[in-house]
Amino acid sequence: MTFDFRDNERRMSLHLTARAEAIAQAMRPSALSASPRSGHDSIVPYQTTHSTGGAIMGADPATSAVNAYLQSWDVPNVFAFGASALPQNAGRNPTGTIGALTYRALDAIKSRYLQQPGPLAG
Amino acid sequence: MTATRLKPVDVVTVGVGLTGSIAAKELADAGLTVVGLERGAPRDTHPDFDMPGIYDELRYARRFELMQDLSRETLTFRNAAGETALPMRQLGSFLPGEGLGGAGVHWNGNTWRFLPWDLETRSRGVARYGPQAFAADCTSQDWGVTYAELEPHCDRFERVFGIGGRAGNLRGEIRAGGNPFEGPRARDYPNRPMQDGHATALFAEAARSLGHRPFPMPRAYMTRAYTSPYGLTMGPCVYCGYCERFGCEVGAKASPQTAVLPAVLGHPNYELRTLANVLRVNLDSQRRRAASVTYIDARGREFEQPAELVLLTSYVFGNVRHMLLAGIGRPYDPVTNAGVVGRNYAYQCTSGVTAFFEDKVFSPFMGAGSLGSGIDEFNGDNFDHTGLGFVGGGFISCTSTGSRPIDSHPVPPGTPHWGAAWKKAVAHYYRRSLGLYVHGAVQSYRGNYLDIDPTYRDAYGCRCCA
Repeated sequence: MTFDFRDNERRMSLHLTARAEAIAQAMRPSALSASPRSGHDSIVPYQTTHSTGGAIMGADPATSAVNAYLQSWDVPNVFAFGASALPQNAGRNPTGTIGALTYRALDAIKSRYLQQPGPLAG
Repeated sequence: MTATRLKPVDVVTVGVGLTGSIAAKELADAGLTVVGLERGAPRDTHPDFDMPGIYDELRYARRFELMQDLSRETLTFRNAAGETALPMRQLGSFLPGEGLGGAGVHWNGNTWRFLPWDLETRSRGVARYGPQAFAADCTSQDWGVTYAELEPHCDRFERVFGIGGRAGNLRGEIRAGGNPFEGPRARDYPNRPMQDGHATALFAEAARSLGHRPFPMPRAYMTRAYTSPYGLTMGPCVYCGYCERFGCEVGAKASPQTAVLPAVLGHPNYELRTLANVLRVNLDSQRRRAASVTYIDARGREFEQPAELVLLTSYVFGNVRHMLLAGIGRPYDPVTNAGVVGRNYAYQCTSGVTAFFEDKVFSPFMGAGSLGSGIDEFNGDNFDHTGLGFVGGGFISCTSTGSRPIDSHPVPPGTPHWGAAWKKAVAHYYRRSLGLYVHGAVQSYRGNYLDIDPTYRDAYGCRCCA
């Protein structure tokens, strides 16, 4: 894995952590600590198990590994289900969306692929 | 070693976690023969997650008993392409699962729908702010599916997993108490939200005082006896707080074990094979079709399982690794920005705020993984980003997850890091503190990607994910 945060993420983290701090202040605490994300990513401290991408979905085979039904553009009897399909990550835990993408792909397999095996998009 | 060739089946899934179990159920019901290959051991609520054994924080939360065994298969990490990637020897920032149910066993149960903007990040971002809103090396893009197209399938998953929450946008009508920023949903959640804790109620009150609209975070913990469309009944949560990194002792957390597998394990069309580690996907001579997968069992025997459909249903790294090793799609090259497999690896950008009180006492030992209150005012494009220098955002929440003793010892800034004063502060503030959490997005970039490592291999000699 080659990964690091960029200025976009660091600025976002500063902005949102300040909003969280404002909510915490509204509770009138005696003390407060805030730790916006800064510097380089480290795989040592726990953050989240929300790795995404690497076999991303999309409408264009030049910029995606699978189509919007999670089917490989190149080898159409292979589907890749899971967070590997997410083109970038949202400010969300991804499991609900992974489940929804899986059901959508399975519906297309059952209603279309089985009748005529081959690309479902293209 | 010569692999024993097995009788062909219609479908094989590489991994039996969240997606592999759902695929098995849906396709076996459709009349297809399905084989599920899971690298880890079988496990179930009883006896594997029974109390008191499951309350072993050291074993499960610190020694990662339910998760990927890095001594058998690791992955390598680096921050930038000029560095040498080194292998993970102990799990840390993320916790892939291993064993039946995968990470769907030890997950925390937060079950959101993404915002409509999240699925059209590039086109909506450019439309509102212009192309310069995205950094030159940002490769974030639209998904090829919109929220409206995904909505019925979100609903299906929420029904099967018994998600509890409060609708904020019901067919376009904004409803008080729910998330007003969510995309329109055809119907409400199948279950009610959980009981608020003292800390989460305080957070909601503070958020409202600033004009925000807090809502109960949607979650996969039952709040009543619930029978799903698969005919499986799950019982209510007891707020024990041993959720994330643990299996649920009462089966109240929706997981493959509680929400899917009992509906397919006895199916005549389905065969589960555990301790079956897939070594590779085999393509035919034209390399346009997958013919079979080769796996190794617990006794070291190799088998070739032919199948008409090969479903990669592993965690991110497993799916991408098998595609790269088999040559399914062109590998991504970050120098030329050409190729696709490995492209757009992203993560989450989290941060926290801890508040300490002398006049309030909480009960942090009670809770559930995703018992919390959140706000969405600063997520996606729910706020004007003009002049801020970034795209995207995240939700802000306060959760009562059951603060366990080894992992939870918040102390105010200025407290000594060890010794009697530290111990005194830990004991004093354990019940006098709460945490706010920022769950931020990460965009995709040209230099963030997955590959195959040139050096490190797994216990079977296959190259690891890099």
